[in-house]
Amino acid sequence: MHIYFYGPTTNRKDLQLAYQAVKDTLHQSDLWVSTNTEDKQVQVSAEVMAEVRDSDVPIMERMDAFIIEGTTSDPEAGFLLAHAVAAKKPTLYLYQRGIVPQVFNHLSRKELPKFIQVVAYHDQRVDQAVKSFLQSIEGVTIRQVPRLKFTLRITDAIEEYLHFKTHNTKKAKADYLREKIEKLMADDEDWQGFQRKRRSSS
Amino acid sequence: MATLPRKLVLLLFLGGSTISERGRAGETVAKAKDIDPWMRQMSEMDIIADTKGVFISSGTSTIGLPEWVNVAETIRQHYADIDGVVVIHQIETIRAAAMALSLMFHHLGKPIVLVGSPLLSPAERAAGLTGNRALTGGEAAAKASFINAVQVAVSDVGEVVVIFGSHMYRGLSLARDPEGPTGKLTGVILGKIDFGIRFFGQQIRRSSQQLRVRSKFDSKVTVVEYLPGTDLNHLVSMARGAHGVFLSSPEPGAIAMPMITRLAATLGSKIPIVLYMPGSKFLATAANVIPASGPTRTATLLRFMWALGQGSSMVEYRKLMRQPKGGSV
Repeated sequence: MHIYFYGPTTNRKDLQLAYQAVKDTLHQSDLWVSTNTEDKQVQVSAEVMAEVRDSDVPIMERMDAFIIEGTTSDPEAGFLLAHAVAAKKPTLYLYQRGIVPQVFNHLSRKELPKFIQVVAYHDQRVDQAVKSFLQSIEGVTIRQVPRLKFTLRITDAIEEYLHFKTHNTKKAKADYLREKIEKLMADDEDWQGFQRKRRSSS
Repeated sequence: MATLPRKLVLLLFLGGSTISERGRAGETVAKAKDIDPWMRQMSEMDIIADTKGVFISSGTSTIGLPEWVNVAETIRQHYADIDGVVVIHQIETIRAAAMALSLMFHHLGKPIVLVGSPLLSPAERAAGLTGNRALTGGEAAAKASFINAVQVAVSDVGEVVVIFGSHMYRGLSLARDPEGPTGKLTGVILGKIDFGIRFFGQQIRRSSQQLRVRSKFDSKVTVVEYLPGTDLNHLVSMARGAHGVFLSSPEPGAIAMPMITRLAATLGSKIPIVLYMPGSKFLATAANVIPASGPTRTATLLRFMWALGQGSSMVEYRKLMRQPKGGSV
């Protein structure tokens, strides 16, 4: 999944901290995160990059969802919101509690479609808003990025089976295996009991 | 907290407004009363700015100089009250429109942004329009291009700009399309749309000088295309009574200078003859012969008609026909 996070350029420390919290939360999950708040703005899969190169379509149209920090008055925030509404993209519009973003001077929140979530956040709670947004779109759950390398030798038959299950899908064989193992873990009552015991003793 | 003032964008309709090919009400502006339902379908634009729509022409009609002059006059009438203009234009003729509008406006203090949907309504398809195969993305892309146009219309640009796909082009520079009338545009790229509108720094900024609109064109021009083997004398004889002759040939060097000098003498020294033959170099010319270069044949012809409308002597025509460097007219 590809997400674009937009935060207007600012010197305000509180907003910079909020931007960082949004990015930290996004980076905990398996997502391609592009953002204007980093030097390297575009982070997309090779597939999306190839599509953008081959067609004359703006890269933002290849994003699956947007997150906009709209506390300050900024024309780009309205521009992205307009695109999100037109393209029916799930969008989280964040702003600090206690202010009314300028965009809502001309637009009632009730006029916005359901896939646009508008959330006023308290100083430290922006990560919660991002997590619930991710969970609400296509059932994305916050997952750890797999970082441990593990070599597994498999038979031709297993290889053939993995190919059978993943060809013509956008899923890699490794992702398929990871998901199967995660499902086993979720269904394994002994493992769940062990985890509970470990948590209570720590 | 500082708030930004709300801006007003004037939308002018000359075809190119189709947001879905299903042909339902409100998806195309074919007459003035279609504007309100279309604006409701495109209410996303209101997040960026207030908009006001004016109907100029239907996309199924032939669009040319009278409509573009009408556009210029409409912009002039509303100029003091608006922040920018979006001209929603039939895509097949958008390049010529961009050229004509670039010629007419001087010291622009507000952007004029041309954009057209690649989609066709059933009525537009039946009228023989082609749309544009080079643009992909369907309904979402059509809507996105109108949103992009409104965003550019409130930016710091003081020239005529065309939005096509993810690029912004200088209106005066749109070049010959190597793939025929429905392919990609080429020209001076002023910026790109990725996650926002990104200018490359070449755009002319809003002018603080008094706007000038020079909208007079003289279309009494005979257009002659010389192909080897045809009788040039006969072709030019048809030009008697015209205010100017536009002579072109797709074959570089097909017309020799002595022949042109003879023709110039036949027509008389007061009738300017513009030569448009890319690839040919004319060293000596008669006083009323003006070799010209431009991004396209249509663009050069439009410039000639504009020069005829604005000037009154051969010296002035020659000066006005010169292609500017760097974008200003």
